[in-house]
Amino acid sequence: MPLRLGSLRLPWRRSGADDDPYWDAFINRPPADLRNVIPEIVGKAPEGNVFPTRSELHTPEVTSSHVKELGLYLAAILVGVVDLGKQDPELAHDFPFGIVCVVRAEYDPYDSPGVGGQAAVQAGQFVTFIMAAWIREMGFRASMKVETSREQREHLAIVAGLGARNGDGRLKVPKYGTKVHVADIIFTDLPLAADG
Amino acid sequence: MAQTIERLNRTVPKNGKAPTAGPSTATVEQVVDRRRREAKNAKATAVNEADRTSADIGSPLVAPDGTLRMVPNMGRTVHVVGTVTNVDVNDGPHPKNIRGELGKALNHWYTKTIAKDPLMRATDNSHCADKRNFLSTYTNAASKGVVNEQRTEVADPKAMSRHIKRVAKHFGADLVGVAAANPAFMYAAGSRYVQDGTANDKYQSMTPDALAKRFPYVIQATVAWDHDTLQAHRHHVGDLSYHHSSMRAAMVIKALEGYIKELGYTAIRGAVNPQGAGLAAGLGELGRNGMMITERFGARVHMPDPILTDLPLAPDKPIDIGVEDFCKICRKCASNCPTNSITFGDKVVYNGIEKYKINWLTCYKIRPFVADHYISCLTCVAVCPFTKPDAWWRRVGGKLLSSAPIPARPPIVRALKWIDDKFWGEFPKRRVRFMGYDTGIKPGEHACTIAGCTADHPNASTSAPDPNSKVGYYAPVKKQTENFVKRS
Repeated sequence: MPLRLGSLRLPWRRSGADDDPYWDAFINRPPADLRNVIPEIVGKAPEGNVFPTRSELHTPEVTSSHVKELGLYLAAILVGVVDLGKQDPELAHDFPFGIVCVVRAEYDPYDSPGVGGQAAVQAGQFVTFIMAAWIREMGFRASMKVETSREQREHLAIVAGLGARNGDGRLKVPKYGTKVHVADIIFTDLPLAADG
Repeated sequence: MAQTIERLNRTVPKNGKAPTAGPSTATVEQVVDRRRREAKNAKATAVNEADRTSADIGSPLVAPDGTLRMVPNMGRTVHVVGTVTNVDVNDGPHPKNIRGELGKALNHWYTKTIAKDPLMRATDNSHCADKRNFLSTYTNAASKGVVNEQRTEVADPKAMSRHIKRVAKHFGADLVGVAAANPAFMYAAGSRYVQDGTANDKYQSMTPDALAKRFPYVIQATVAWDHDTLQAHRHHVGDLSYHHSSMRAAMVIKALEGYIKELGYTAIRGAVNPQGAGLAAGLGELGRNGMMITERFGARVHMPDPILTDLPLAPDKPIDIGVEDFCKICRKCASNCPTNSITFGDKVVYNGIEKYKINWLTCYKIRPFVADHYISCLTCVAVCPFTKPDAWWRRVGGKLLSSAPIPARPPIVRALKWIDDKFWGEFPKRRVRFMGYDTGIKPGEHACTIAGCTADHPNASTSAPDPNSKVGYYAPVKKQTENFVKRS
């Protein structure tokens, strides 16, 4: 954003967007070949095996804190755990817990089909893929392949206490408002302590 | 332009194998003097020269007689002073090891061992139990799409350079730079380094000279390692810092590669040495530890495989942040290196390049012996005085050094080094706690140090260490490796 003092705009601070004739296409022009887009490729990646030997665990509360620590380390802004046993069985898919990771989204990936508009999806995949892989390597099931709609993911984020709905029905979280994206939910049987 | 330097006028064999790199016969003083004169007289970059040349007289960078027209400017820390033989990427440590040329122990460690730690299994490609649980398996295979036929016209390369840097940062890069391509920092013909093992494109067999002519620009986008977890060097927590940035960098650079194709331009990878490109692009300078040292993050940056492209860009220039002056005096990495792989001596000329040369073999050979404790050592990065959090006090120190005239820098370096030793320790071993890992527990022992954890830990072999202790324990200690590699 340009630096402004009231109605004055300091001439030596120019907006990045004003200065960048290619930015709009980067955010909004759909890719000509989907194989050039990372979320498309990572989204279709098969899931790995569950490690045959289970790792030694701490209490569910401590394990939950480790899940959150890892999520935040991988650049999620909020991480929550949902008890799926209290949710619709069709949504739970026989998993006891869901891990909800929220990443920052400067542009809403649902409104911005360009390569840049999908950056939040890519950031979310980075968090959830590594976290799910870590859980599987600890010897527990973890899947991101359960189909969930945007409404369902945002509902689970609210259940996990990460935010609330605004007037438009969208998820709104502290500090970042609605400029967030809920990444794919990790469905797992890792013993966790649910939030919310 | 007649700015030349000797270069092998050789024919590349069909199998693409380059001759083994060896020491130059040129004396350093002679060639450095001549290079200074050449650099002073050079008024155009190789790329500008390419634009101006109407008749095809060979590569704009390499004359028909094999001489380099433009020696790459890589800053004060690295000079091309003699004949550079392009290195075959298959002569690197990992390919050699996979072929079994470094001995049975190393080969077995790299190709057959699975990490005991679940986080390592999920973040390290060579020690995971299932490659499908490793993110870069997919990101490295990404961007297999075609180049968009509807090319975006670039009227102003400077504007496109700004755009590309902004795009890379939008994807998560921390530092981005553009360099003019130069054969001196490219791999030998036919030895493209592509992490998914394939480089099946029509550029695969092109010589470095031809590649630099066809693709005049190199983009290097780096991702910084987390400082706090890096303090646990020689520990799985430090490994996570390294592997996490490695995976993120792969994702960023692949996304950028795909985007350049979407713009209608070709982007290839695996042809350029990351450090050479980073130096020429002004991301940092080369330290005594053989690592790129940057202004904001010090040595804690991951240098992914750069992008070579024909997208019109404006190259950046090398920077001077005082690494040359600091490394002459500091030697902290050399003192702390557990394998004595970093020299205390001066720079040497190797393969026509004057730089500090580390002993990569001894650095590499220790790994099977410490596999239970860590995968990547990182000590030289963690202890480097440049490797600090990106805070105001660090920027003040950096500015103080880089803005001082060169003759005035040695006393500033000594003062900064003294401060660093005082506050961070001459042999830093901080205690780091992360996700239940605790470097306050001695290597080989097991204990739970998490406050409030009531779980039964049958594998605990020792009582929890003092929770208030700030000392971390890292394997192996220096005196153990004195037996392994003697200081020369």
